[in-house]
Amino acid sequence: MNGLWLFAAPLCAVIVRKPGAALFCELLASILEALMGNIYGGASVIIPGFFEGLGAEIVFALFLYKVWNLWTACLASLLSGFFCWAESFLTDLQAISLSGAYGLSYLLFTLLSAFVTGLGSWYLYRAIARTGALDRFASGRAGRSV
Amino acid sequence: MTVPAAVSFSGWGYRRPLRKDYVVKGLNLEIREGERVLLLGSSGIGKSTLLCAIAGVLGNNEAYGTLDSQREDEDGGVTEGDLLVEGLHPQEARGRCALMMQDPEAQMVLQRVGDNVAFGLENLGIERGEIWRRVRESLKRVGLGEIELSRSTSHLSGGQKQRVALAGAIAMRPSVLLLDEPTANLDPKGAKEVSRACHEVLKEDPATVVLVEHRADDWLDILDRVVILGRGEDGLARIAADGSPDEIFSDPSIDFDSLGIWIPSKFALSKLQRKRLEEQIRIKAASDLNPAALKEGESQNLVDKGSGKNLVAPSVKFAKKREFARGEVVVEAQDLSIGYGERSIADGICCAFESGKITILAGENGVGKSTLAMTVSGLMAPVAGKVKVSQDLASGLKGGPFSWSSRQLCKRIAYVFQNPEHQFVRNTVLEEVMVGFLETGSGKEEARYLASSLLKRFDLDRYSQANPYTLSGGEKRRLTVASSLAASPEVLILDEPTFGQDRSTWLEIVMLMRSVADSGVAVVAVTHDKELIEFLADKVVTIGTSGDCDIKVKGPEERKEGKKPSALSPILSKVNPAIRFLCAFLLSIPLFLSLDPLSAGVALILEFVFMEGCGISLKQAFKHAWPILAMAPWTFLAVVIYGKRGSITYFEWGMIHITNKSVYLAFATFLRVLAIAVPAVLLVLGIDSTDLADAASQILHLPERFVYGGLAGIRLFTVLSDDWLQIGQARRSRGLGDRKRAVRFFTQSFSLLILSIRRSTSLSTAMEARGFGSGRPRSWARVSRTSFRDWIALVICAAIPTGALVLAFYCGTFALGGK
Repeated sequence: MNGLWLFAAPLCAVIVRKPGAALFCELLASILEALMGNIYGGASVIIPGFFEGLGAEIVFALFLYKVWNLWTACLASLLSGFFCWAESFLTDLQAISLSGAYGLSYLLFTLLSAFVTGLGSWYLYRAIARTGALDRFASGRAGRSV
Repeated sequence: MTVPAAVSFSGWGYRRPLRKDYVVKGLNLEIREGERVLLLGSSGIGKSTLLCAIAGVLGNNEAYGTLDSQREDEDGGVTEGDLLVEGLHPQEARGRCALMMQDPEAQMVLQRVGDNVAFGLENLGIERGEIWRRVRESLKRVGLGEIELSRSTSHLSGGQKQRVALAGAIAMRPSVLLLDEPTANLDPKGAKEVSRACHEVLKEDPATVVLVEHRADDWLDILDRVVILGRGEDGLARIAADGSPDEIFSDPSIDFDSLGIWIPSKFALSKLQRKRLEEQIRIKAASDLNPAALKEGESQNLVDKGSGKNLVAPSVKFAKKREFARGEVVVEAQDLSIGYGERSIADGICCAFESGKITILAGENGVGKSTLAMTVSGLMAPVAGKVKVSQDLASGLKGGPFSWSSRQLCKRIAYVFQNPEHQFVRNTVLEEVMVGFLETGSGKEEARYLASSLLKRFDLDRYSQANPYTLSGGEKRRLTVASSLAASPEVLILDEPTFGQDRSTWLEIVMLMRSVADSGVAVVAVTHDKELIEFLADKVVTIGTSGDCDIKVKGPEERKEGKKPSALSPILSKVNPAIRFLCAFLLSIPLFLSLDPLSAGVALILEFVFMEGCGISLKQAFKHAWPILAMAPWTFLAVVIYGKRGSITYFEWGMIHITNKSVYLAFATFLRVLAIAVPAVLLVLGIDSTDLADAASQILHLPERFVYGGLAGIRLFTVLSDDWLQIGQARRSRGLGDRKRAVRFFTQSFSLLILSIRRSTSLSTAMEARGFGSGRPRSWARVSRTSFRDWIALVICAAIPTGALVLAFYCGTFALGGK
C-alpha cells in the first residue's frame, strides 16, 4: 500500500528529466499534504517525503540523468521505497526490530509495491506522452513522432 | 511612461515540436510603433504562435543571437528568420511585451487578486511602494477599483478574471500589448466588460497592440489595421490581406468564407454571408448523420464469417423500436427545483423538450443553465420536483433520469460537455466512438464496423488511430458529438457547443446539430451565441435573474470576504509561516533520539502548556488533531504484537509475540507519536500557501524559480475538484459510470492528470509572459518578516524536547532508538 505515496518522484523525474525533479516533486507533494490539513499529520509528512524523493533522486543521479527507461524508473522507485521503509523504522517504528520477521516482511512488501509503482509510473508516463500533453518536454518527444 | 515599440518579422518561421511542417514560414510583417493591429485567420493557422513569439515565450531559452538559419529551442520547436521587438530579440525584451491569453483560469498565477496583478511587477524588479500604487491604478483602469486586494481569484467571474489578467498586463507598462482572444471564453456580459475595459485602457495607453479575435465587431473603432492569415497552396500560413478595417472588410475580392473569418455585422457584406450560411445549413442538414439509420442501412453487409449470422440483428430491432413522431415531448421538467445538494438556485421550473426540435437554453454565465441541463439529463439530482420522460424514452424504466444506471442513461440521453477533454475515455478516436456501441450491446466487430462508418460521416476517419487529445478544437468537438450519438440517444444536450470556435468550425457544428435534430433526436443547446440561436432555434428558453426571463433564478449570493485566519490562534498567526514549519521540526526531530515514555510524556505535557500559552486550548487541540489521536492506537497495537522481545513473554502465536518490553515500547511509541504529530498539525494548520512561499524565498532564501513555480502548482491543485466532478459526470453520460469503483477512480484520475498537465503548461507560459524566470533580480510585493516573537518561539520549541530528553537521561530512562 505504501507504493501509492511513491508515485510522484519517479513520474516527475521521467517527465521533466532534470536534476532535482524527483526530490522537488516529492517535497512539493508533501508540503501540499501538510497544508491540506490534519489528516496527513501536518508538517511531519515532510520528513518521509524528503527521504522518498531523495531515494529516487540518487538513482537518477547515478545514471548521470542520462538513462531514462523502465528499469531506471523501477530502480528509483525501489530505492525510494527502501528509504521510506528505513525512515519509518528510524522514527515511528523504532520499537520494532529491523531484522525481525515483521521488519523484513514489511521491507519485502514495501519493495514489492515500490516495484509495481515504478512500473506503473513508467507506463503512466508513456500513456500521458501519447496524448501529446508532454510535447513541450524532451520526454514527451522521445517516444513520439508525428 | 510607456514607449510603444515596433515589431518586425523578416523571413520568420516556426515549427512546433514533433511536427514535420512549419506552422508559419517566410513571414514578413512590420508593425509600427503604436499601431493597433487585428490578426485574423482560421483556428490553428498560427495566430497564437505569432503572439507568443513576440512575447518571447515560444520555446524556452532559444539560442538567440546566432546566425544559423534554423534554431531548435529547448522545447523542441524550430525557429528560423528574424523577429525583433524594438531592435531586440523577443526573449531579451521579455517583460516589455505583455500577453493576455484566452483561458482566464490559466492566467491566475496566485490566489489573491492583488498579488496576481503585482506578479509581473515583482518580476520586473519594481520597488514595493510603486508596485502597490500601480496595482491599484491598473485595477481601477479595468473597472475593478472597488475590489478587495485580498479577494480570492476563485470567487471571481470569468469576466472579472480576464480583467484582473488585463490589469496585470498593463501594470507592467508594456511597449507592446498582445491580446489573444481575450473574450473567447466569456458570455456576452463578460465579453462586453472586458472589451470595454480594453477600450478604456487603449484610449489613453500609447502601446502597440496586436489583437487576435474571431469576432471583430466590438473592436473596430480602436483598430488601425487588419492582417489576415490564410493558407497558401503549400499549406503554410501567409498574409492573405493587409489594410485598414474599412478597406479589408469591404473588399469583394477577399473570400472570407474560405478563410474561415467572421465579417463584422457593420459591413453590408455580412448579409450576403448570412444568406449563404442559411443555404449551406439547409443543404447539409438534408444529408443524414443519424447512427440509428446507419445501422439499418448498412447492417446487411455485416455477416459473421464463421456462423453466417447477421451480427447487427439485435441493434436493428433496437433502432426500429425507437421511431416516434416529431414534435412529441420527450423530456419535461415539472415544477423542478435545481441546485447543488439541498440548496436550490431556481424553483418551479416547467419546460418541455421535443423530438426533432432544437431547443436553446439561453442566459448569462453562472446563472444555472448548465445546472438545469444536467439535472434534466440525469447527471445531477433534482432538489425538488421531477424530470418526467415520455413512455417511449423510458421504455420500461421507472423514475427520473437521475435514478437510471449509467448504461441505461447513455442510450437515452447524451450530454456533450463544454470542454471535450473532460469526456475522452479511450486512447484512439475509433475506440472512443466504439464505446457507445459496445455499451448498448453491440459485439466488438460490429462496434468497430459501425464506429468507422460513423467516423466517416463525421469526416474523422483519417484520425481513427490517433489519440483524441491530439485533435484540433473543432475536431475534438465533432468527435464528442459522434461518440455521444453512437449510443443512439433520443435526447442530445450540448453545453456551449460553439464556444470560441472559428467560422468554419462553427458552421460544421451548426450543420451537425440541424441534421441530428432532423433525424428525430431532441436537441438541446446551452448557449449564448446569438448567431447560433438565430439560425437553429426552434424554441428558446431564457434563464436569468430579471423578471422577463422564462425561468427566473435567484441571483448569486454576494460574497464579502475578509482575510482568512492563518492559524488556530491570533498569537500564532503573527508568527512567520516558515518559522512555524521550523518550530514543528525543532519540536519533533530531537524526540526521535530516545524511545521512552518519560521523555515523550514530558514533551507532550510541555507542548500542551506551550499551545495553551499560544492561545490554543486543549479542547481545540483535540478537535483539530483528531486524525492523529485516531491513528496512534494502531501504532500502539503494532508495537505491542511485533515489538522487540523482552524477558517475559505473555503471549506468542506465529509472528506475533507480546512481551513486557514490547508493551513498554508500545506505550512509549504511542506517547511519542502524539508528541511529534500533534504540534506538527496544530502549528501549521491554516498557513496560506502564498505566505509560505514568500517566507521560503525571503527568510529561507530558497530559489524563487522553484518556490513560485511550486506555489502556482499548489494553486492549480485547488481548482481540480471541479474538474474531477465534471469528468465523473461525463463518464456517467458515456455509459461508463457503472464500472467498479476502483476502475472508475483510476481512469478518472488519468483524465485529471492529463488535464492538469495541460493547465500547468499554459500557466507556465502565462508566468513567463509576465517576465518570470527572465533572470532579472525580482522584487517582493509582500514582505515576509521575522520578529522577536519568532525567535522566542524557536527557542521554546527547541527547549521542550531538549528538556524532556535531559530529564530522561538523568532518570535513566533515556534509550537511544529504543535499545
